This record gives sequence, structure tokens and C-alpha cells, in this order.
Amino acid sequence: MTEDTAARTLLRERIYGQILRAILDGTLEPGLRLRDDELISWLDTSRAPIREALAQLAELGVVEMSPNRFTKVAQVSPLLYAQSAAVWATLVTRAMHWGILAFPADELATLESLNAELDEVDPADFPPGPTVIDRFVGQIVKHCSNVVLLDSIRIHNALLQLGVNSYKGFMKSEPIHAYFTELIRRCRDHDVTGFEAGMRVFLAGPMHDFVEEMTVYYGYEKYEGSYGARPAE
Amino acid sequence: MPVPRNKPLEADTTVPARRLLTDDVFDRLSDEIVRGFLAPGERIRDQDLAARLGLSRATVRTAILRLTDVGLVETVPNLYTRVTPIDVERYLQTQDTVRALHVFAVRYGTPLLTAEQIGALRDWAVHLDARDEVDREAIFNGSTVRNFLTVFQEAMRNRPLDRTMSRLQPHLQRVMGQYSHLMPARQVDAALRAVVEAAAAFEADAAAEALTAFYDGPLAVFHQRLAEQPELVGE
Repeated sequence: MTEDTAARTLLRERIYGQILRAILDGTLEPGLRLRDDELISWLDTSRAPIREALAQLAELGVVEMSPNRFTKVAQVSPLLYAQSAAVWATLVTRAMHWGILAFPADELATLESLNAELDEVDPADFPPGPTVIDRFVGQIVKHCSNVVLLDSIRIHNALLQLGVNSYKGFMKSEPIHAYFTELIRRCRDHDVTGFEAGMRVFLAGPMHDFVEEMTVYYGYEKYEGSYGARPAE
Repeated sequence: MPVPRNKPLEADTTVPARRLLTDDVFDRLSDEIVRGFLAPGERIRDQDLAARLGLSRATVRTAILRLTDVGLVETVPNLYTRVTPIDVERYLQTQDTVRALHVFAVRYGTPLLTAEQIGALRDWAVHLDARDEVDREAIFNGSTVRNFLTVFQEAMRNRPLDRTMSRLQPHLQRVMGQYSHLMPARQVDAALRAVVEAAAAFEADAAAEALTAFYDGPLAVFHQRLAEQPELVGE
């Protein structure tokens, strides 16, 4: 039964990823109705995993379920991306907390080499797929044993990865590299004292700048809700 | 294989603000499981339910799928669907996840609260007056969450946050409601009042710290007591 569950999870992830990618690259346009029959023939699978994937996409906000069981593609904006990024960062902070506490010494070298790689590459040149930043974070997060937390992160992950690929031109690697150096020390010492506060400073700094440049560039209002910028009095 | 796009894009003309039937089924079943009326292990038969409620099987199935997603029912493929047992480990993991989001919502929602929202929070906090027992019904019907947590979420207007939270809530309601008598009520009241007071003064960091103190204090006491329940020990 465990094997069965794992196979179903894989299938759901694949379908989730395929639909999400088609929405984000514009193949499936905002407002388009998603019909089960069409999805079944496109994705070559049965109805149940498709409904499961659609429910997760609805949680993310990229599809909307409306009355009479019609499901349609929602507008994906930098704002949605920023909001999802804020939730993702909050959950990842918690998962990293547990990952730092359980981090095995023999994997420190992997973190070092990923951070060295980040130092050499301009984010604008990141190839598609999980970036070196994703891999660094994933290396720590995988030692978190809270599966509910990891599951919630996974829902936001795909959007984040695709978002980074669309907006990576706004990203600067120096502050991330410096922060990762600090994280490697924490992983070595299993030290989470002040970790959450430090993470907030990082998110309010480089991460916030990144999200803000992106939203302003795309003509949206500055997003005030994500990393604690207080609205002007 | 390309996505079929031979049909023209249809404008959605049917957008009345009415709820889906499947939402009603979900809410109803969720409520019955959360309150323990539907006991762990009890079978859920979509055919019977559809007949009893006069709805299509597809509608009922969609609701059951969502119940699976929130962890209230589980499906043994091709065999049956049943109400999940109360799994303390899963509850604690869910609570740990919600804690992170909850502190986030209070920290970043506080500066955005309107005068009206602060008034509503204060009105709610008046009832947190050193009670001997926490209000079980308020946990079951969700009003504790609506009057407290949701206010901060509304200030933030972050829909992905709302949706992730609402998926995690039922599992918490089930355990916290059914074992509410184990909560140290006076400490809970004092801790939550402290959050509201700090938020009303726009002290975002203090409000977030007060909420963290709630999780590390009275809620940790609750979890300790939960671990001592003989029926919940072991799988």
C-alpha cells in the first residue's frame, strides 16, 4: 500500500507540474475552462489524479473552481507570485529550522560546493529547472522530518521555481551567497539561535528588493503584505 | 501532445456568488468528522451519500477527494474510503506548520489592521476572561479561528496563505475540539489576550512574540497532556 501511495503521489506531482507549466507559459490562457475530458486525453491519465492536481492548483490560486464544477485558469500575476513566495519562505524557514538541527556533518561539503557554484554564476544565466539556490535550500530542508510541512512547501515550490525562471534577471547573487555562508555555519553547529530573526532580515532585504522590483516593473502596486514593509502613513 | 484548443475561449457568464454543492457536502462531512459524530474507521460510501443527499456521485466524490486532501478520510484504492484515526503525530506536524504561518500572519498583518478590525479583535478578547474551560463549540464551528486568526489574514489579503491555512485547519479543529478539556484555559486566555493587546497597539513584533509564547506555553502544555492519553498512544 505504501508503494501504491508513493506511485500515486508521483503521478499527481507530474500532472500538477504539467498543468502548472502550461498555465505559466501561457499555453493555457487565463479564463480558459479546463475540461476533465480534454485534460484526460492530454495528460493520458484518469480523472481522479487530475481532480487532485486541480485541487492543489486551486490552493495555489492558479486555477479557480466555480459553480457547476467548472474549473478555469486564473490570472497569474507577479503579485500572486510574491504572495506565494512569502508563504513559501515562511514554511521553508520552519523546515530549515528543523533541517539545521538535524544536519549531518558529512553533507557540509555539498553545501560548500553549491555555494561556490552560486558565487560563479549570474542568476540571469540560471538554466531552467531547480536553481542552485533551490538545491542549496533543498539540501537543508530534506533533513526536516515534518511531512505535513514539506507537503505544504511542495505545493508552492513549482510556482516559485517557474517564477524565479521568469524573473531571475532581477536577482542578485552576492547577498544570497553571503547569507548561505552563514547558514553553512549554522548547519555545522546545529545552531538555530536567532535563525528565524536572521531569516526575516534577509527576506526583508534582498528578497524583498527582488519581489518589489519585479512587481513595480510589471506595473503592479508595491506589494506591502509580504515581508513587513509598513504602508506609508 | 498539444493541449486541445480547437474550441473558442468561452467567457464565463455563470458567476453568481453561490457556493458549490460539493462545498456543502465537504463542510457537512468535515463537521461530522471533526466533532467525532463520524468515528475513526467508519466507512464513507459515495453511492449511499449521493442517494441520501439527492446529489450526483461526482459531486460527492469531489468532496471526498478534498476530505482526503485535508487528512480526514483515507482511501484504500478499489476497496473503501474511511474516516482516518486521530493521528497525534500528524496533528503535531500540522500544528507546527500552522504555527509558522500564524506567527507570519500576525507579524505582517498587524501593521495593516484597520480600526474596525482592531475593534472586532478587542470585542472578541473581552470573552477571554480567565475561563475555566475553553469554548469547545467555538473550536468546532470555527469561530475561534474566524474571530482571531482570520482577522490578521484578511488584513494581509494573501490568498495562497488563506488557502494553505484552510486546508490545514480541519485536522487541528478535530483534535483541539475533541480534547479541549485538556487545555489550560486560563493560560490560553491570558496568552491570546496578550496577542490582541499588542496588535491593537500596532506592535507587530510584540504581537508575534506573544503568539510564539502561546505556542511554547499553554499549547505545549496541551500537547504534553495529549501525549498522556492512553487511547492516543501508539498507532
